[in-house]
Amino acid sequence: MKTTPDPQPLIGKQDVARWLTISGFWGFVFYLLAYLSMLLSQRRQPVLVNAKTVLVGMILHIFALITSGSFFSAMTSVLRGTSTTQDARKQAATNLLERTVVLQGVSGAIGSIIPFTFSRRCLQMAAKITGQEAFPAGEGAINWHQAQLLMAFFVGVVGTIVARISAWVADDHVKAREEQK
Amino acid sequence: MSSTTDQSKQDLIGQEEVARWLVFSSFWGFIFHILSFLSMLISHRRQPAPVNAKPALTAMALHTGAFTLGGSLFSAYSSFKRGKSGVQNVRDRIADGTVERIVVVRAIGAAVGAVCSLLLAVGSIKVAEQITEEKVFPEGDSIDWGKATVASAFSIGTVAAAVGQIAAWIVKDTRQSIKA
Repeated sequence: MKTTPDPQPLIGKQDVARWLTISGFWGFVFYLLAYLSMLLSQRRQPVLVNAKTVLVGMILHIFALITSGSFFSAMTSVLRGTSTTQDARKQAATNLLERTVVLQGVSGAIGSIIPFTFSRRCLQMAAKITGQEAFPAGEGAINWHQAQLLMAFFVGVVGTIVARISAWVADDHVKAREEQK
Repeated sequence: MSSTTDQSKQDLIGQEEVARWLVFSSFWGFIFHILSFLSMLISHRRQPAPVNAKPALTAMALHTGAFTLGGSLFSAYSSFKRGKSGVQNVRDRIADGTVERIVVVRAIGAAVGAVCSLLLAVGSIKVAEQITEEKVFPEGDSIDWGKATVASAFSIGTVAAAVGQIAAWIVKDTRQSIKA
């Protein structure tokens, strides 16, 4: 009697591990870049900073991004009917990483408004928790347009570089296989 | 004879090699500086801690520039010493599974190496202060250096672990897609 292999689950252990790692990594990087953009865009110098509030804001931001990122990935899996890992493997086969390096950087820069707003909200929430403003000079001392532009620039550059490195890693594997043959 | 040497040099250091050195070393220089800088900022004993943006930005540019230059020179030296290009070396490591096996080792190595990054950040800050004639941290004497080193090692180790793991997954995905 022939046994058919069990179909792969839509959401497996590795899928969840990937969501947590990737969304946690970007949650951390986005927060650092948003915070740095706000720090560099203060009208009054020197800038005063409360470390405790900054750290609480970081934890809130990472947690928020992990939760929303994982929820979004789970929704995508259910809607597409394939696991996110299988989807990534299909994309690797079509050489999509290599073709979308610049596109990923540009869309990262445009979309940076979302993690920037998220980071701002997390800092406000952290200030309520700790009872200290992250920047005691207040939000009025920040040049918000400059901060958003800086954030878009940072995210655009980092996004392009990460996409470029990912494409090289994938390409290296294909070439390594060809050389082995 | 000399044309053979020229050819082998060309194989060792090609255009893609140089592009990779610049991209990798500038990326890590930037990330290392931000993490070291923020570790110093949150390790002030007196709160709130003051910081000046202009010299901080100058220090970031100096650190990234120094790391790009140093990283590229180190990569070129490694290529010559091994007699193998960096790209070829990476492909060999992917083929024998090293990339997937050393995620944790690489993260620990990065955490230990974070001390060098912190020292380079301190050096860049000192040079930036001389250029701009402004202190990055006007109350620098209140920095708890033990805490700053631990914060720097922890954050750099975590980022290196995440990046290493993501790279290992990309290798795995490509392998599975080739099999399919």
